[in-house]
Formats: sequence, C-alpha cells, structure tokens
Amino acid sequence: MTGKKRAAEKRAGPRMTIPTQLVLRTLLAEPTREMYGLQICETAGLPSGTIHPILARLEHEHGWVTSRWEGISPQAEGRPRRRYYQLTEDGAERARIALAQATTSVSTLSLRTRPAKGLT
Amino acid sequence: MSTRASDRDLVRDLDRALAHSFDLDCAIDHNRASRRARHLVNDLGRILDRASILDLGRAFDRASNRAFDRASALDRDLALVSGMNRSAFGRASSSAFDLVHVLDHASELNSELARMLDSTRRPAVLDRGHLEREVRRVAPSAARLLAVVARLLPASDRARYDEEFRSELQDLAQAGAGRFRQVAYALRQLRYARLTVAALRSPRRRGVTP
Repeated sequence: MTGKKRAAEKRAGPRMTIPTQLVLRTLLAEPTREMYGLQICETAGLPSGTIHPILARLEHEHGWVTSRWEGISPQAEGRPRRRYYQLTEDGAERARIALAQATTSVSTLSLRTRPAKGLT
Repeated sequence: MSTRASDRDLVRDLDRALAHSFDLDCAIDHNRASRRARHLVNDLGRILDRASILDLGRAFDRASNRAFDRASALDRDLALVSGMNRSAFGRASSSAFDLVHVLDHASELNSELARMLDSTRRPAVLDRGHLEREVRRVAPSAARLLAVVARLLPASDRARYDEEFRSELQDLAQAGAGRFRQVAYALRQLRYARLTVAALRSPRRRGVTP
C-alpha cells in the first residue's frame, strides 16, 4: 500500500467490518465506562479472543481508543492485571459518524450486542 | 541494573533461539501440525457421530483426552515454528482454526452433558466445592499456548499482551470456562495473532500508555 493511500485510510478511520462495528457500538453504549477485553467480547457477542486486532488498530493506528492497566497489585490479588479500554472523546465522536456512514450495518444483519454475563 | 542487563541478555538469547527456529522450520513442522489437526478433526467427528446419548459421556471423555493431546502437540509444534514464513503460518493457523471449531463443538457437547448429569446425578456424584475448584483452574495447555502467541508479537508489546492474555484466561476460568473453552480461546488468539501484529506495526498517531 502506498503512503498516500495509507494516510487517506487513516483519515477515513478503520475499515468498518461487522466485528469492528460491534466493538464500537459496545464502547459507545457507555462512552465513559472502561471495559476489559473479555467484557467487550461478551457484550458485543463476539467469540472470546477475536477482538485484540480490532482494539490494537483502534488504539495504535487511529487513536480512537485509549487503554490502561487495572490499578491492582497482581501479587496481592493473586491474578494478572486487566487492561481496560475506553473511547477517547475524539474517538467517540468519530466512531458515531463512522457507524452512521457504515454501508453494511450491524442492524441489517440482525446482530445485536448483549449484556455481559458472568463477568464482573 | 544487573537484573535489567540479565533480562536483556535473556531476551537476546530468546530472540537468537527464535531466529534459529526459523532456520529449522524448513525441516519441521507445520506439515506435522496440520496433519495432526486434520486427524483430530476426523477422529472427533467419527467418535461423536457414533456416540449415542447413553454413552456420550464415555465417548466425550475419550475424545476430549485425544483433543487435549493433539492441542498440546500443536502447541509444541507451533512453539518450534514460531519464526515460520507467512504461508506456513497460514497453514498452521488454518489447522488451528479447524481445531477451534472441533473444540467449540466439543465444548457445547460438554455443556449439554453437564446439564444432563446435573439434572439426574448431581446429589450422588457431584460435590459443589470440588466443581468450583475445577472450573476456576486455568488450563496449563491454554496458558502455554498463549505464551507462544505473545512471543509472536513485536518485542515492544510482548509483555503487555502476555499479561493481558493471562488476565483474560483467568477471567474465563473464573467465569466457569473449562479446559476446552480456554484452549479454544488461546487458539483464537493464535489465529488472530497475525492481524494483531499488523495493527501493532502500523504507524502510531498518538502516544500509548505502556
């Protein structure tokens, strides 16, 4: 891919595949709420383990999403820290526009996000 | 300071070992991994087709043990060929994808079986405390496979994703996922590793909190 094409793609935002739309809708449902990966999968109705490429693209390539480590001590809690994701203000705005313009929308495929079960 | 230096040495040695594995990958082993995964798919299909409701439990047990062995073998093979070229990676990834489907199917059968047993035999056979301990255990095979996946990612992001994958695996186990769902999760991470690598290698627009 040429540099010009790549730059144009970055300006336009990520490719709005169905999984990308589901992830964005999930994060947009409560833009101020931070969610960790498995929680996003559950809520978006995607299989666990499929969203890291999407989140990495949104975070690293487009800057729509920001992430931080959970503020616990792994030693004290006896488990690894979770990584929490949240849309940036600008990202939320762009995501709304991109979802509205998406040619193949989630709703046409009768896919719906669902509340996370069994995860706190 | 010396710890950091020895960590750096360790990472350098690890990178050398991975580079060496790239040289070996012509001789080994994506073919073996693919063949094993295909055999697993066929074996499981035959076993599950033959199983009646009454002996489903026994058949599932045999199938699950075999699936676990094959998943472990695939794990080892992929660890050996982590420096493989793109087409080899694609083939191994496709085998892993098949395996995920089989394990997902096996996991559904397992859930169905658990429901049946739960309604008929629970008072005599199942101990609640034992069950809780069982479901909360992280499957070592899934953890090992995730460590392999983390090694496929760019060095600068390896530690982050290693911890993130481990925390998600722990959450899955806490939510009651058994060994097969955990291995399926790890295999999905393996399948999507190439896309994650591509996303992580793309030019960054903003600073990212490490």
